[in-house]
Amino acid sequence: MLNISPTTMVFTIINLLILFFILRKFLFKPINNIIAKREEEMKAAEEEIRKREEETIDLKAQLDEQLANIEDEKTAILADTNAKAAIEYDKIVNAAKDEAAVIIDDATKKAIIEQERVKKAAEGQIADIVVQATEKMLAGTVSEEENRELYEKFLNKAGGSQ
Amino acid sequence: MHLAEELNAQLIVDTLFVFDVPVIGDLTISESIFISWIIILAVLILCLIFTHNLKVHNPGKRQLAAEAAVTWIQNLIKDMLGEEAIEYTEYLMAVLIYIGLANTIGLFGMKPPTKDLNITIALAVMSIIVVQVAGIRKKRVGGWLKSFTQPVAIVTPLNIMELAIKPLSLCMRLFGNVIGAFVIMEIIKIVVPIGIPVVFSAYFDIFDGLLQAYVFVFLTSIYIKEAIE
Repeated sequence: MLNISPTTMVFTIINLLILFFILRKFLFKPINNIIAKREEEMKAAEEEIRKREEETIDLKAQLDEQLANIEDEKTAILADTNAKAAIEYDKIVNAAKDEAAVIIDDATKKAIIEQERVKKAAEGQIADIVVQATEKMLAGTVSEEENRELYEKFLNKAGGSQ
Repeated sequence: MHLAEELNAQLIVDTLFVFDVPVIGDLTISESIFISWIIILAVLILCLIFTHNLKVHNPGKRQLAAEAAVTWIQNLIKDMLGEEAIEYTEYLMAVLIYIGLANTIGLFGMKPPTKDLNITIALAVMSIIVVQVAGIRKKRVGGWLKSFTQPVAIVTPLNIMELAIKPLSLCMRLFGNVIGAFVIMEIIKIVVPIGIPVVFSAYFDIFDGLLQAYVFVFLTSIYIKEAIE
């Protein structure tokens, strides 16, 4: 119990060192490695989630911006289109008005010409009839009946030409 | 006297083998060394069983138990040592496991190796070597030598005496506790062989045994902390 044995002491120190190395190599290292690995993975996963979150926030901002841009663009295009449409409308209406004016003018002119022509023709015919009637009356060879006939013919012709 | 003879027989550290080594001479392998070998072998086998097929994902119950145990002991010792001396954690874990197992091996009917004074002397010597190495590594040789004269020059002899006192107190405390517990357990076993020893064994082998392992490691960690301050 109390006898001092250097051999036992030396062996104990060796034993302790052997136990230390065994525990380190076969227990502490593998276990700590696996825990460290797990922690690393968790950290990586966390980092990944954080990154994704940031990306999502960025994307959302981008989309919001795009949406705002689209709204602006829409307003601009709408305004532009409205302006263009108004111009086009005015153009078409003005063109139509001009055309109508030309047509009306044309028609008026044509009517005047026609009227002139009819007037002239009637005047010519009346002159002829008057000339004929005068010739026949002057010849005196015309009976009462012929006279009446002539008269009626004249009237008919004058009325028909109207 | 019958009882005294029986007790004495139990207290003697048997010599198991004597090897005749050419240069050194006779190598006496004592019982306590042999039981230490059994402890080392058991630890090795348990380590291999518990760390077999470790997985990062979905660890089994066996692995979780091993992880929990290692983490628990590690944190226990890290807390004692503090951030500065964290590199000595693994050594102290080994000491804690060795003394813990050596003290409780009485449960398996073996004589605890720590009731052999030579074993506790060796453990205490190792502790004080580690403490001094920690001091030298931290302060270099000059700083380490200077630390003997601190806080005042007059305490230098006391500080040098502490080199012997600290390990002596470590080894005597452990040895005294274990041999005391062992003697009481042996007496109880001789007087009442059935039933009662189990109850007392729970205190003397398990509680006191683990407590002494803890105390030994705790004091060593305090000495290390002191040395690197």
